[in-house]
Amino acid sequence: MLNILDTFNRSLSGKVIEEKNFDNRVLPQKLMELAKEYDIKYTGEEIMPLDMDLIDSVYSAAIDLLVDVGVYNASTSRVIEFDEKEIKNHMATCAGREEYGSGNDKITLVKRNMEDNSRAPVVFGGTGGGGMSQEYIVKHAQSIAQEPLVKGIHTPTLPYLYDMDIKAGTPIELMAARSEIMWTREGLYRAGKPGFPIIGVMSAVSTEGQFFADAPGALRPEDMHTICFMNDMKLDWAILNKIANTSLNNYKPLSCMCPILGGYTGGPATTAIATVAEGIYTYLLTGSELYVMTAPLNMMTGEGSSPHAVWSTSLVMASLARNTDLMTSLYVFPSAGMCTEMFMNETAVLAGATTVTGASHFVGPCGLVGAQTDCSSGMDGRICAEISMAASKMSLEDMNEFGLELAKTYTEAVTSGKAPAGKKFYECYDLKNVRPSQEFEDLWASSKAKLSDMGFDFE
Amino acid sequence: MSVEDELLEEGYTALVEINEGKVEEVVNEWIEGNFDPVKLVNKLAEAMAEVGKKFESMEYFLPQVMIGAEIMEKANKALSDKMAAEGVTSVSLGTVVLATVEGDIHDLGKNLVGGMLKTAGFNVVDLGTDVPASKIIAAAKENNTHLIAASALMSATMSSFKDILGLLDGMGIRDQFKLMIGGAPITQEYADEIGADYYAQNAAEAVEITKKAMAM
Repeated sequence: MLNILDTFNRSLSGKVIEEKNFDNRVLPQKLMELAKEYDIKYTGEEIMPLDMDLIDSVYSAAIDLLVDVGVYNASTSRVIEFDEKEIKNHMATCAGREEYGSGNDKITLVKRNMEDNSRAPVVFGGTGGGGMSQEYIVKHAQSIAQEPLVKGIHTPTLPYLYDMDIKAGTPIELMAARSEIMWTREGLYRAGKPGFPIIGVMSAVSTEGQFFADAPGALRPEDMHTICFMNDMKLDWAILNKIANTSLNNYKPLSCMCPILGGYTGGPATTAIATVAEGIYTYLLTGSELYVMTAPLNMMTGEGSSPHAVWSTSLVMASLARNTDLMTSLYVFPSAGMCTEMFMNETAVLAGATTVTGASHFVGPCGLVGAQTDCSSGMDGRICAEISMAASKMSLEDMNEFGLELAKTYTEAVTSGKAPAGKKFYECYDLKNVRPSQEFEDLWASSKAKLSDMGFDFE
Repeated sequence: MSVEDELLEEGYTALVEINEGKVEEVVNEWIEGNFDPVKLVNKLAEAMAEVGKKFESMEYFLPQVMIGAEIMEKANKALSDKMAAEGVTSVSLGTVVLATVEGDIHDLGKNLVGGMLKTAGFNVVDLGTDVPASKIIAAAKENNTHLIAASALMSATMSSFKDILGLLDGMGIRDQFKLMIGGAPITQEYADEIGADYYAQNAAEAVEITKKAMAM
């Protein structure tokens, strides 16, 4: 990774551009030029990219984008510039593996390739940042850690603390950030997984709030310290401060991106180019061996599981898998709520498509696009793990056919905002024993049988 | 076709195609020709509605909406100046103060709402991101508007809506302002719970609500 002072200096010496000019003109115009130059377009005929030239072109276009446009530091109104050789040299240093967690629960994440049947992606359960009430956060963590196929946890956001709202940049935010991790760890202890790797912190948006969770009993150096980047090739001092925190304190970083479909990066093809470029520079800036992203969320509908979003996501995964050793991860965010058949179908398409295109890791799944409270459980991680294990045995063509067919069952509902709300954690779990309800188990068994009939080979 | 009709068509097409130079040219010719400014303003508003439709169908994306709104603003300004010289009042449908709440730096949704409101003919005072409640209220007072539109993308920043409402209450001016809220974690239930006046699920809804709120 680049030295933090080098990034600092580039932030102060790069070309000056007005932010709205960067957003509305510089970035989108270059993306459109590159899509045309490399003939990268979404036709709607596939839900996953099948053409290796297209996949590799996206990577080349992403490098060109990064060299021509750079990364915008919104705090200085300047562009952090990179040259092509530097980018390629840095990408060649990706290790393609990383360890997270500690003791018996430590995991080694290894980079997967496209159609890689040697291993399935590793699943971390959790809300992916969605809310979990303090009444349930411990049992929620326990429900995840006791799932045998789930290997880590992504912490939730606490929507309130002791009946008080969380307010960014205040003492209650600091307390919430630390409580989120401490209560999660309590759940891990109860499940007998004290060293289980954790992705956090979610309850704090301020830099000081996030740093406050790096404390004894809370986030450990070997956990994954989330650095959420701004969309659309931008960052600011707060992000660079978080990078300094992980880098100078020897904490494991995790680069995170939430692309938007229909925003400044445009449609599925141009958003894929930008998201690959973002994966590249997040590695250069943070040194994180794992790049975690959501599927591009539609700006108008908020969904990220319809065919164009899945295509764009798979293209990003495939492009990075074929051209780098950077490991990729997906926040699996169905639009439907937990404990519904639609949730399982969306998970099958999102996790299935990205398993086959080379994802190494998944977070979730978390229903309602991870935007609501108490909408996640350990059972969801189990579902995702079983799906990804089955998908790892599938070919690109088979998964494409399967995905196109299955997406028909939910696309109208997700694009029209009519996805079912499903159930809350406390409605589909026996909280006394921290076990999924019989209804939840039966629903998954029935969905799994239907997915098997369509071609999924479950163990 | 008359020169006037030709210019109206050219202006409409140029704006739908986001051709900034051509729209400027049409506006200049229109002013030089001494035609009724209101006619061109209305035609350009129709063009922006078409841009909005293209955005919703994913033919256009956010940059086209934002640049279109900028072009429209410039054209409106030139035509308004002309109208003012002729003693005709402004064509703006009203002013909305817009902001992302304190602690939150997410601005994509807010920018889209701002762009769509401008295209619909509203004057938008965009305060940016991470804006404290006191600054939002001060801007609403300063701009003589009763509608505040605020967004939050994070659970940890949602409570800032309550700060706005609490401050309005504390200042004894709650009844003078309406608060419209939105953002990924926000629901109608949440808006009801905190006492916000309106909840907009997306930018199109925000425009419809603004039209209703401004009519009140």
